Amino acid sequence: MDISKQMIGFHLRLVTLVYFGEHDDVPDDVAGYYEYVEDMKRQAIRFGDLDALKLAFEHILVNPEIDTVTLSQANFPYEEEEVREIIRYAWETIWPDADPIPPGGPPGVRIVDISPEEWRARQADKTVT
Amino acid sequence: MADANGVSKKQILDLYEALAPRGVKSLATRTDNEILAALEAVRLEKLEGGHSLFRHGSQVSHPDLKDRLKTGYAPDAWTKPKRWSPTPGSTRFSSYSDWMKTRDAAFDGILANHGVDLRLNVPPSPGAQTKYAIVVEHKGVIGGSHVGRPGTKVNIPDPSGQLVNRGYSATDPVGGIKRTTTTIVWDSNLNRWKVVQHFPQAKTTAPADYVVP
Repeated sequence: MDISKQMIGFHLRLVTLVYFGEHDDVPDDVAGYYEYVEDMKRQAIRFGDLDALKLAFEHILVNPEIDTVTLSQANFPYEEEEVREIIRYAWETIWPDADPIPPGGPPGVRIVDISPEEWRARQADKTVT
Repeated sequence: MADANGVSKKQILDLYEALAPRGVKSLATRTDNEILAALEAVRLEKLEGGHSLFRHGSQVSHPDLKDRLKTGYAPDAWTKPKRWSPTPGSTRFSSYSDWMKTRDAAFDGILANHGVDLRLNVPPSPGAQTKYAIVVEHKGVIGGSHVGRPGTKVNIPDPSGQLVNRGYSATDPVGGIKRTTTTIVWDSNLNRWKVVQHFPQAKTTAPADYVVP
């Protein structure tokens, strides 16, 4: 399954960008992002992206070469490991009962450039019966 | 009390506080529309407790933009100590009219993308989304910036004195910015949707969610 980089950023920035509208620095503990993760989940559900976001996060978490700082659309000078910690926390928070991620990540997943318009069109096609 | 143009002394003081002498002085050579935009922008920022004008208003100097990248401190509230807010991209609007116009466009973008007009100020339903972010592409250039040069991240002292990897030893100018990033959140104390971030977007890696028609 091809998953849009842009879609991931669209949702992830509700944590990595919006947090800094109300704070000057990162929280002492990653759990400080909780309310932002909750809003990311709400938005992903509303756009029908929650399943794709789960697969994307799982793929990212086992592929350290993916540049998550750029992906996150943050305007804060995060380090790569900090964004990965946020993604890990979001994954554990949103899907607390998820199976462990397979060593190679979910099979068949690729994270690629797909414009928001094209991604929305593909998602809409999937809902047509 | 108001002067002959209907501008109250309170508004003038607010203008001075928000834009610093440099910003107020610059208005002397601007159009009436730009002065009115500055007054309205200051009113909105004061109402919502925002920092956008402090950090991204057209009064912010190039040295201040670069200083934020190098030290992590933003040019907030010129009468007070600078505030810790490190960033990889320090940007400013070309004018207060652009600040206002692009802010309105952000609300338009959220309406187009999410189907909700936050200007109507309807509180979110229980369990509904309380925060929105939008990247808008505008018709023309709305600002400029300096960005931290890739590969030059350095340790700088944070407010506690601890060294953190949040600064840049070198910066590069970026002109011709056409995009803004805006975040709007529900404030239950103010009982309104308020803009908590509004800035020219220096990065081109964030795709526009909404293109101004």
